[in-house]
Amino acid sequence: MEILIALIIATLAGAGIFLTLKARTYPIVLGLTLLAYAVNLFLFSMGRLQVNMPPVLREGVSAYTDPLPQALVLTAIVISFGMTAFVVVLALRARHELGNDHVDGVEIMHKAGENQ
Amino acid sequence: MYIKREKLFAWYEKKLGHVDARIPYGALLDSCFALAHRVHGVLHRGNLQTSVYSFIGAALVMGLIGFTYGDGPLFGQRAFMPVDWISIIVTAGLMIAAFGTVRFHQKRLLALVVIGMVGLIVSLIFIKFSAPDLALTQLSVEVVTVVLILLALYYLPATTPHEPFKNKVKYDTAFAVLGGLGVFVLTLAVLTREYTTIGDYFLANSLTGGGGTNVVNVILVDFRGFDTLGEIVVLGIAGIGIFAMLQGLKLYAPPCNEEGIVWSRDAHPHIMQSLLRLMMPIMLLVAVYIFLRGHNLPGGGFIAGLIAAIGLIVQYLANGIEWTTKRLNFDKHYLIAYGVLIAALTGLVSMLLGYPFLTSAFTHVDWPIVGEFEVASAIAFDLGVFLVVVGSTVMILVQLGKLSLGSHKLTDKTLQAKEEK
Repeated sequence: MEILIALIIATLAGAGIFLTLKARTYPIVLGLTLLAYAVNLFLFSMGRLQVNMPPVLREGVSAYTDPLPQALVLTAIVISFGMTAFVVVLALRARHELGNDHVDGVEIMHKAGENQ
Repeated sequence: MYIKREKLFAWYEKKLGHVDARIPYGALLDSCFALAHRVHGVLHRGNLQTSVYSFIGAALVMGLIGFTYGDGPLFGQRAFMPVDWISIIVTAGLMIAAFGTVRFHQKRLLALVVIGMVGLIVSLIFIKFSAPDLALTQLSVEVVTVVLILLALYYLPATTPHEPFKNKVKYDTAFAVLGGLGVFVLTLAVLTREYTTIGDYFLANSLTGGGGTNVVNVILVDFRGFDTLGEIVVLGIAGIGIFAMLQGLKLYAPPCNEEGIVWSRDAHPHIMQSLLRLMMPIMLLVAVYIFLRGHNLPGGGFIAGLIAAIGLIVQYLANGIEWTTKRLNFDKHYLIAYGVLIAALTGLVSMLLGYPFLTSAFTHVDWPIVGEFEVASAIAFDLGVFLVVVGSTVMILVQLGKLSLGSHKLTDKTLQAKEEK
């Protein structure tokens, strides 16, 4: 199971890195979202993986999973939503100010077209 | 000394008169600026991709040094959990969805659908590994995120063009594979080791100290309340920053989709409208329920806030901005401000009573009909969290939705101008 979760986090991180390296704003938003999933899952798994042990106290139950990483990740999920929203709106504003959705604000496509 | 002063002054004028601290100081400052310019020129070339390459490259190099440094084995001795078939299928599904997002990222709407799948599977993973609170949060954040990106997508090009550089995909793939590999080894290296945790303290003191059985929520509103206070402030700042960025923004909204089909100008569908108007009180009731039970069962301010926000946002989606704004006519800034204020005041009250900031107290009250009910001061703090989450989420999405009012007019004008020509 640990190998599976490591595989999941690795795939998310790899896909996130790939998309973050793109030149348009939208793939970068997607890439950052994937990276946020990867980081949240990674932090969450720092409490090790436990099945059927939610940290909700019950009578006669003494084994619970570690609640601390969960509390930290819960706020991280909400904050990463705030960050995604901010980046998305930044992308819209950039499109408005610059007239394109390239991350550097300069259309490289035109230059390449001229050279061909 | 005083008697000899005139001689000393003369000597000073002659020997040290030309010494001026300003000159070496100025020269030092100039060379500092020059150095900063040179470093800046190397690192920051007005090209985001170069910066991201250097960031990730540096992380990879440091990871490599970390992995090779030291004599101990890379992986620990901790036994693996048994694997079942469902987990393998879910893992495969998530990996397919992640690769799908990469594969289809040029078709933007499709990529959004596929990344939504990733988010849903992540919340399933949280359920599997004993984190019901996280699953609920992830699920509701997912809904809000998809609506958010969908709204923004209307103003962005529908497809991503191919990049002009030939070998870029190869480099990107190499970076992604190396990064993924590093993360894989790092995660496995941690997960195969035993660890000690301070979590036992929270488990032992949650009921006696915080008065709640949902330890995650008690940590959020009580033990680590100061953290949470900071986080709701960040969320509020993000919301207000977005509000500021969207002021005066008029974007050109395309009159048709990429295949040239003109958008339907129909009114909002009646079935959706009447159903969602009926649903709104129920959705808000669910939010209140989740909020109230949060201290003892999975739930709490963050999750309830997101559910209430979704309940309000679907009204905007179903009935249109103009109709809903008339009926929900209050400024969402106030929600953010009151939320932060209530949360901070809860902390200050405990200071007035001579306890440290954000110390919470709780007592049991016997209500008629309802029965025994626990009242904790932490619930006031959680109310602050709730208000900030509702305020910023609804404000972000409504402001983004409002863009279409101005933009439609803009588009209509452009169309008219074209027709006149």
